[in-house]
Parts: sequence; C-alpha cells; structure tokens
Amino acid sequence: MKKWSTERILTVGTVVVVFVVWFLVTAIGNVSETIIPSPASVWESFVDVAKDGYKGHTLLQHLATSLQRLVIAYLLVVVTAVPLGLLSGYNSKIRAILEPIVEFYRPLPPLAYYTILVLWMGIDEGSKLALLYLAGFAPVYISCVAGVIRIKEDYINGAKTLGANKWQIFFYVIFPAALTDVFTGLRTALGVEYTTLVAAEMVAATAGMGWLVLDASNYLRSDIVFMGVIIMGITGILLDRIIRFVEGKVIHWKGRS
Amino acid sequence: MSDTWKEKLYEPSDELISVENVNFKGQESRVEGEELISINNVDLSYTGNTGPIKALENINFNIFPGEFICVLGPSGCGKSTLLKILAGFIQPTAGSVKLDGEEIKGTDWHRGVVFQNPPLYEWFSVRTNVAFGPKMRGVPKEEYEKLTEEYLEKVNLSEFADKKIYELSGGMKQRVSIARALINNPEILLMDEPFGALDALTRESVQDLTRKIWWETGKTIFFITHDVEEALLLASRVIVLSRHPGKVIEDIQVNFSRQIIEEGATDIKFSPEFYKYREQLLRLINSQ
Amino acid sequence: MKKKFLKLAAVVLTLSLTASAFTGCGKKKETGKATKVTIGTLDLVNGDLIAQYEKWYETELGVEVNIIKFDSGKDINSAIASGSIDFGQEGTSPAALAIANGLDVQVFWIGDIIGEAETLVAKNGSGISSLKDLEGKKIGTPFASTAHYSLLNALKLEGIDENSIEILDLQPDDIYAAWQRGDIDAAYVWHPVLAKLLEDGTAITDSAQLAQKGIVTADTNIVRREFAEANPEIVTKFVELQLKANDVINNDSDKAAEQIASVLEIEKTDAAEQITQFEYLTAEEEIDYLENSFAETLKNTADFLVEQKSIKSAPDLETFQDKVTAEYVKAASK
Repeated sequence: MKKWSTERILTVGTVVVVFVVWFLVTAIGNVSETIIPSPASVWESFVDVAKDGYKGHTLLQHLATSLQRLVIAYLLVVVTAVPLGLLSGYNSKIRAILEPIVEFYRPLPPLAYYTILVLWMGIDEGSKLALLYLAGFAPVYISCVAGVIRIKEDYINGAKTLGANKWQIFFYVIFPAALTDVFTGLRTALGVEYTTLVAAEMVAATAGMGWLVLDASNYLRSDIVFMGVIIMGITGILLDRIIRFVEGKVIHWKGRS
Repeated sequence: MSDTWKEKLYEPSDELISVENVNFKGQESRVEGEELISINNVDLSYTGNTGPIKALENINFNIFPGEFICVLGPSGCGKSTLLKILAGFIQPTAGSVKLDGEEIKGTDWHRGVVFQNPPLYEWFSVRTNVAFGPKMRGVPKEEYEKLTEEYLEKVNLSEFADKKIYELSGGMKQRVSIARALINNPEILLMDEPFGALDALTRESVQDLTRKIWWETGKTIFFITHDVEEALLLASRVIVLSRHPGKVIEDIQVNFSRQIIEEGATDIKFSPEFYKYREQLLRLINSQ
Repeated sequence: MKKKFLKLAAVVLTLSLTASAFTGCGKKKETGKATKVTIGTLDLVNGDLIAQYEKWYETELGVEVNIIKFDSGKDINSAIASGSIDFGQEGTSPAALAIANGLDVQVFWIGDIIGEAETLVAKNGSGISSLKDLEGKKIGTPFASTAHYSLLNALKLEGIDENSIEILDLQPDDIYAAWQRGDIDAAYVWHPVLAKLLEDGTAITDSAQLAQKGIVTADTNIVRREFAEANPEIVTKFVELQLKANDVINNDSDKAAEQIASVLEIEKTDAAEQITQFEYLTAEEEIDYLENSFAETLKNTADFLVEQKSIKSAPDLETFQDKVTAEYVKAASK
C-alpha cells in the first residue's frame, strides 16, 4: 500500500467528514428534504436524471451544453485576452487604452450587465457566450499585464544586447517569461467563468447544468439542485486539473529556476 | 588623471610604471585617436526623495581595443551605472559616450553584456540560449549552428548543450552567459560583477576561462567588480571610482594577467608586487 | 499507518457527532408569542398594496413589522423554508409547489383571482392569431409561474403538443428585451411588461378565459404553520386588513388605484386598468373558495407539475385540504 501523507489523509478525511455529517444530519436531524436532501435521495435523483434525463435532455446533454458554452467562451478568452494582456504589459500606450475598460467592468456583477447583453445580442447563445467571455477576460488580461510587468528588466535588456528586436523580444522572451502568470490567470478565469455559468443560463436556456440547477430550484427540487451542484463541483475540479496538467507540460521549468 | 594616491600613499616603482603604453602581445593598442570607446564628461543624476542625486560625475576616459578594464570601487559608487550607460540601457544626464566615434543611443548587439544574475531563458536549452543572438539577428541557420557548437566548446559546455537551464550550476550558467554574449562577436564585452555570487573555487575557474578567452580572442572587456584581487588577476588596466558621486580616482595599467598567461605564473598573487598593488588599491578604496 | 487511520476515524466521529448535536438543538419549537413579524411581498396588485400604502401592517398588527420585497414565488418559498419570513405572498403554482414539497405552511387568504392581468400576447406581424398558430414559434414565460402554468394548460386544452413550440424561460424584463429584438414571437406574462407588449401585440388568450375552463390561477397568502399556531390573532388581524383593503378596491376603485399607483410608482390610469384585470373576493367568497374548491385548484396545479416532471410526486387531496384553511377569514369576518 502506498504511504499516504498527513495532508492527503486530512483531505480525504474532510471529504469523509462532510459526507458523514450530511448523512447523520438528514438521518437523525429531522431536517426537511427541501433544506437538506438526504444523500440517498440525491443519489436517486442522479440515477433518475442520468437514466431519463431532465426536461427533455439527458444529463450528459446538459453537461455537454454547459461545457460547450464554457469551452467556446474560454477559447475566445485565450486567443484575445492573452495577447492583449501581454501587449498591454509590454506597451504602456496599449495598456492606457484597455486598462480603464477592464478595470471598469471587472468588479461589476455579471447580472448587472447581462440584461444589456441580452438587449444587444438576443436570448440565444450569443449573449451567454458574451457573458462568459467577459467574465473570463478580466482575470486573464490582468494577470498577463502583471506577468509582463514582473519580468526582470535584465531579461529584456539581455535580449536587446543580443540583437533581438521588439517583436522577437515579445515572442521569445516576454511571452515565455510571463507564462506562469498567464496560466494563473487562465485558471482563475476558468473558475470565474464556471461561477458565471449559472447566471448565463438564467435567460432563455433550455439545457445546461446551470439551467438544470435553476429550474430545479424553481420547483424546490433540492435533491436535483444538490446533484447538479455536486456534478458542477467535480467537473470544475477536473477542468482545473486539465489546465494544471497542460501548465506542467508547457512550463517545464516552473518552480525549478 | 589623479596621481594623488601614488604621491601620498605609495612610491611607485619604476618597473610598474614601465608597464604603461606597452602593447600586450599586439593585442592592445593604446594610440590616441584609435580608441574604441570614448567617455566624455559623463554625469548621471537621478531623482531621489530629497531632490536630484548625482551617481556619476565628470567621467572621462577612453577604452582602447583589446583592453581588459576592471572597474573597482566601493558599493554604491555607480560602477554598474557606468556599465549601463555603456550598454545603452540608460542615457547620461550630461556628456557623451561614443563607440567608434558614434554616440551610443540605445542598446544593440555591438556591446555584449554578462549580468551578475545571468538572465538565461529557462524555456530554452543551453544550446538555444547560446544560439539566441545570431538567430535573432537573422544569421543563416547553418552558420549559427556551427558558431553555437564552437562557442559551447570555448566555454567547455559542449556536453551540456541539451541540458535545461535549471539543471546547471551557477558557474555553468555564467559560462553560458559569456558564450551567449561572445557569439555575436561584439566590439566590447561588458561584465557586471559576473562572478560575485559564485563560490571561491568556481570563481577561480571562470576567471581563468575569461582571461583565456580575452587573450585568445583579443576581445575588449569592461569588467565591474568590487574584488581587488579579481581585478588585479584579470585586468590589463584598473580604474577606481570614488563613492558618492562616482568619480575616477585612479587609472593604472597592470600586467599580472598577462604574466599568468604568458609565463604560467599561477602563484603570482603571492608575489610581493601583487601584494603591494593589492594593499594600495584596498587602502584607496577604504579611504573613501 | 494504521495509527494514522485510527486517528482519522476518531476525528471523523467527533466532528460528525458535534455537527449532528448542533442540528439537534437548532430546531427549537416556537411557543412564545411573536414580538416581531416578517412579511414577504411580491407587490402584487391586490389588497396587500393598499395595506402597505396605509401602513396598516406596522400600525395594526400590534408587533414590530418588517416587510421584505421578493422577486418571485420561488424566493418566497425558500425564505419560508428557511424560516426567514413568517408571511408570504405567491401565486398558485409556487403555493402548490410549497405544499407538494412538504413546506409546513398554511394557505389562509386568496389575494386575487388572476384575470386578464396575465395574458398570452403575440407580436403583431408574427402571423399568430390563435393558439393553433403557435406551432414552431418561440414563446417566452417565466418558468414555474402561474403564467407558465396557464400557457401549458392552454396548449393542452387546444391539444397542441408543447414540444412543437419552443418555450423559453425568461423573466419579465428579459421578455421585454427579447420581444423588442424580435427573438420571441409571443409571451405569456403579467404587468407592467404585459402592457408594453400589448402596444404592438395582440392578446391570444388570458387567464380569465382559462379560469372559465377550470384552469384557475390566483395569488395567495401563506403563513408558516408554526407561527400561525403560536400567533393566531396576528393571522386573523392580517386577514382583517386584507378584507378592509378589498373593500376599498371593490367600492372605491379610484382611491385604490391612486394608492396602488403610489406604491408601485406607476401611472394611476395604469393601476386603475390593472385592478379591473383581477377578481378581488369578499369574505363570503373567500370562505367559499378556501373551504371548497381551492385545495383542489392547488392539487390540480401540483398534479400538472408532476405531469411536467417538474416535481416527483404530489400528495393527495387531503394534504392540500389540511394546508388550506378558512378559519382565519371566518374569525376575521365575525
């Protein structure tokens, strides 16, 4: 048997404690199913929804719909926020243009401007993707800017003394040197997009995990809400793991220099 | 130039003075008008909390081709600032610095720099780091690949060419850094306390390597250090800066480095002459 | 290794026991008289707004009163479930849900019967002139609301397969946005958005017509049973205020419109128009509804939600009868 570290035991222990407390509370606590559904009924609703689907879509379709929205918005963030953030860090003029916009909308709660997005882009995928995109853009942009600013001047000076021009410095020095921060931003963005997913699926969605949770809560189906939340939580962890895996592959030098 | 310390503290011996204006094995030419770099009336001030602070004042000297100049001075005397001006990272507040008669306006590859903490690119292998300069400058692939192997060989790193940067020791990193700067064949190599962070044994070996490269390539080297012994063991000329603001208070020629190379005088640092120079310079610096 | 796991087991056990002990004491029975009452309102156009305008709750209930505005019956249900509010106001759909999900509440008052105040409107030029024309179209309505319930029943009565229509879950202001952009062809919704939609839309059917066909939707007042049993006189007083308010609406609609307009900050003419689109009951009618048909109305609503697979199951009629009570209206009208 592999030796478990104390930390690992504590982590697993915490999960076990949460489950045991959940079980005990619902078994002996005399709590209404609406407030805390029992693990058994959550499991039942999981089996149910997995087998028969929820309101016209299977569980996998709900999950796939959400993931599709998430991934599309996320890719848009990657291809726009990363270059714009890096360029903003590199060139103070570009930063002067973009930063006030990002600083302005970043602290706004997504719901505050969602109605405007719906007015502009309609109730279909466009406004949902836009909401997720905006949610993810800010953290990536900001950490890219910070990542470039943090780069030691000698890195750039060194490249200049070796004969690299501005663009070469950007691609061969700035970009790789900022990668650690880029990935921090990307991980944060995934989390923020995930938390915005429920909001994004509030308007005129007919499928998606966020919508499933919202709709179930409309009908006080706490068992399905719990199930949905747990599935979203696990998916969130998995997505984060994927990014961390990619990060480890890309930044092979991380933590070793 | 100031002869004050010689007058006050030290009676210079004829032998030593005779070193002046000697061409080292044809590698140095100290002919006025043929200087590589001329530094004229350079001042540098920056704005501190309590108004402008002067870091360098009225710096005047020429650098001739093939010289190995070591700049000595107490910490905070602005010696690194002087190197930054030569590299083109910063502009002097007053005065001018010319390379081959042309004012230095910015940073380019004609002046290679070796930093104290080598900013090697961790995302590249040792080989790619060395090849960086010619690759960026658009040197044909075949050519820069050949050059890379050549310079890796020069710094004895051929067998580490495919290693990652984090796998190297401090001395190896500095050797990569030197190869990376030399491969561009710059007109001058600027070294900013490059061996300050290394342990004694490693330092000695990279010093030997640097001296050897200087001798073999005839490269002009401008080397900042706070270590008097290091300066004497490497330089053909030692310049001492004063503290706050940095002014040139001594500029002498020495030939210990040459003796080590030509005569294999590895124990020269135990010689009375060496000792004398060391003592004088130390006293000069400590009197600041 | 073994030791570590033993330790772990011990920690798990202790924490678990502590946690369950807490939940054990958490549920304390309400016995004493309330000194403070929290009322959840949706600002529905009925007696509640008159009472709010006149500050009757604050001055006549005899206890400290806290009024909280909610956006939907769903939120009222959550607040009731968590014990955050004592009284709540909601439509028949959320009320049926509350009972079906075992929330310990009593339905003690019908604020209004919904008439033309909830209407299915089709956008002019969308080619919809009857329910039959809806096939293949997009319709917006807030899910789990009375309007949603009415829409689905209207389709069912016409024998239209709801899967042939795209029904979208939109809150009223989003309905207005989607309507303006032409994203939806029709909507089943209430005021004030309804009035705006009617400016370039046509009414296809409404809740008054559906009520005639037996699909009754209404707005009700519910109370936490524990609170009601401990403080029956407050509930009775609450009903007295509603009766007094309904008197104003039914007998001096001009004054009622003015007061409602003032609370909602809308035009008096709009308020006056909206009042005509609801039915407000007298004490006798209330008692009749609450004693006879209302439990069935809620049961039908719940059954329909089961049919829709929105809830797992609906309890039997007795459960609904148990939760619907006329006793406070009776006490108040004595």
